[in-house]
Amino acid sequence: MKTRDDKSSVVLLPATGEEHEVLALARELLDEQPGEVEALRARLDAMEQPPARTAAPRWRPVLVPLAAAAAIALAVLGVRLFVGGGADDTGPLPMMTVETTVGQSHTLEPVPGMTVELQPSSVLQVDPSAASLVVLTLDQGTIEVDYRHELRGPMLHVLAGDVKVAVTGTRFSVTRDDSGIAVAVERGSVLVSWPDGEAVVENGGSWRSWADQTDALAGGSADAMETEETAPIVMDEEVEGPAEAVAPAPVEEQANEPAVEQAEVIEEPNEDLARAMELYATIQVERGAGKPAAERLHNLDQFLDKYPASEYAADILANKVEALSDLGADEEALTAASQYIRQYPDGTRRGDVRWIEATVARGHMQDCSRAMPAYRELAQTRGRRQAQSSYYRGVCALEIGMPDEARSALEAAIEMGLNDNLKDHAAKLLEDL
Amino acid sequence: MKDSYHRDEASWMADLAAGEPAARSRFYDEYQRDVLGWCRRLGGGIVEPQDAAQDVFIVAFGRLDSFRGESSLRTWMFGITRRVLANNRRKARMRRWRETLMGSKASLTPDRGPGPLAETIRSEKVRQVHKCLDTLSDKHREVLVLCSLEGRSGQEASEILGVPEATVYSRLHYARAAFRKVARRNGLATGLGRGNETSKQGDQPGGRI
Repeated sequence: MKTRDDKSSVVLLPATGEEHEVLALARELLDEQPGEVEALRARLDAMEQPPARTAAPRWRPVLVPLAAAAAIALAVLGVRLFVGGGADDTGPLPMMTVETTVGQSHTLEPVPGMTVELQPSSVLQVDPSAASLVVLTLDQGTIEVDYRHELRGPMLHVLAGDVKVAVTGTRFSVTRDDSGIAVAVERGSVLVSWPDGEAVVENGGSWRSWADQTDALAGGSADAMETEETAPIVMDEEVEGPAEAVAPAPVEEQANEPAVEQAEVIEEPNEDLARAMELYATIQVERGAGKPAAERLHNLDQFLDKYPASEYAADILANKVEALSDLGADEEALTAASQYIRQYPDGTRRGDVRWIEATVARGHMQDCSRAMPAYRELAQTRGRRQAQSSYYRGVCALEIGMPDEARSALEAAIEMGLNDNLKDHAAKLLEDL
Repeated sequence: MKDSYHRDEASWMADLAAGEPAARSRFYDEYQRDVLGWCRRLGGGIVEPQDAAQDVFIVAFGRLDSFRGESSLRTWMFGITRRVLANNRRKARMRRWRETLMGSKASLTPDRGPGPLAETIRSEKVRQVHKCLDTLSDKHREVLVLCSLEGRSGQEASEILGVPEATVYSRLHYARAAFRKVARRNGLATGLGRGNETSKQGDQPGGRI
């Protein structure tokens, strides 16, 4: 690699001809297209005033019967609904409808931690009048919901006539148009249920319902879908990495597959799953509500005893690690963490568990040797904790007399963008080294 | 690539906030090309660059009062672009998904229609480049775009990204190696010129690193 001395115009050339070749190709392919700057300028000049960030949608108060059965309803069940408490003191808000027109979108925050984005040409009724229940009724169009209920507590249900979608902390969208209803889950999982069955749609999966597949493909009516035989299709996708890498099969192909076979898989009622979901919801609500760890452990253990094979068991075990750590039961927390890593080596909470494990070992027990494996793993894993983990890896390596590893870990931590306080300390440690 | 680093950006911002047409025009002149380029190169091929760039300016106008002059205006604009793109990419992914579900024929990459074969091949290559870029971390992708694709110096990239110049070089080193690797895997690199020969400086426009 060559460098020029003039710092303001340092030229680093590609190390290999191949590198040069691919970069030149990328540069050419992504270069400016003729007229595009001018086109943008025309659009910018057309903005008469410095615009507001989003155009205000049209709001109008309406009276909406709760049983607007023909619509999709999003029911946000409040904490007390799950834990058996009473009504909130907050006074009821007026019912209203928000509409977006062509090319317009709008974002709502019905409850803290939950955002609902209306896509263009959508109509959504908002009913926050019940203290523990917010009902959003989508009359048409599309909403995208991002709800991190694991941080806040309340569960989320999607109702479409007799179809219910129970959501467990997720980002997903619901679309309703003349051809039917579609639910796509980008993160988390949802439970879709209807009178004769249910199905869990996982991260990256989607669910589609037609009134009649043939009619739907030809533009069948949504009303028929809600009252006649529903032929749901579950399309499971195993998603790793960005969603754009996944190309779900064209809908026509899906529709041509034998729907009966798929329906058989998902139509079997699963009461156990429903009960597990309910307990899971309670646990999440308790966690969100900040219930003391000692009290949370009861339900966590109950869940793990009753539903060890449940898909939520991994998450519950991770919660247990967290609760034990909160409680100061350090050895038990480390044991539970080991259990998680052993049982769910690819679990989605692995990073959380490893972090708690390292924190307990180093912070609570002052045992850097036990913390090191977790810090090493976290420092190699891209994510929000990577820099910090690399820093602590360096600190622990110093503590247990491994200066070479300490140096490389601290240097890597600084490179990864450590926050200022830790960065200063890391620099000082490096100087001392 | 000389820009506004030495200008009185604070007074410029004040004029912008006051709705001075001349200030707005100058603002567009200064940043329209940069912002559009960032949107095109960092949008993953799923974001419409013109729309995203317009969004960036809309957000910038809405947040003029948040510019404190602690970083350069270009750094501030890059930060806004980064956030707008993240948001637009998320929306685009969901939209594609939804359209697929609902039977729309809309595709992720802009449909250039039944054009000549060369155009189709080019579209596919553009898609491949975005795919390769998307395998990089955000930090590596940004530094690769700024330095290797936009031809900015290390010092410029350092100011835009708000990181030390040495960090830029370090990231760039890893970013290029990773990009080459993934490009080879995706068939972008033909293998021609493979080896350790270094290109002549004349192959690179001035300031490219």
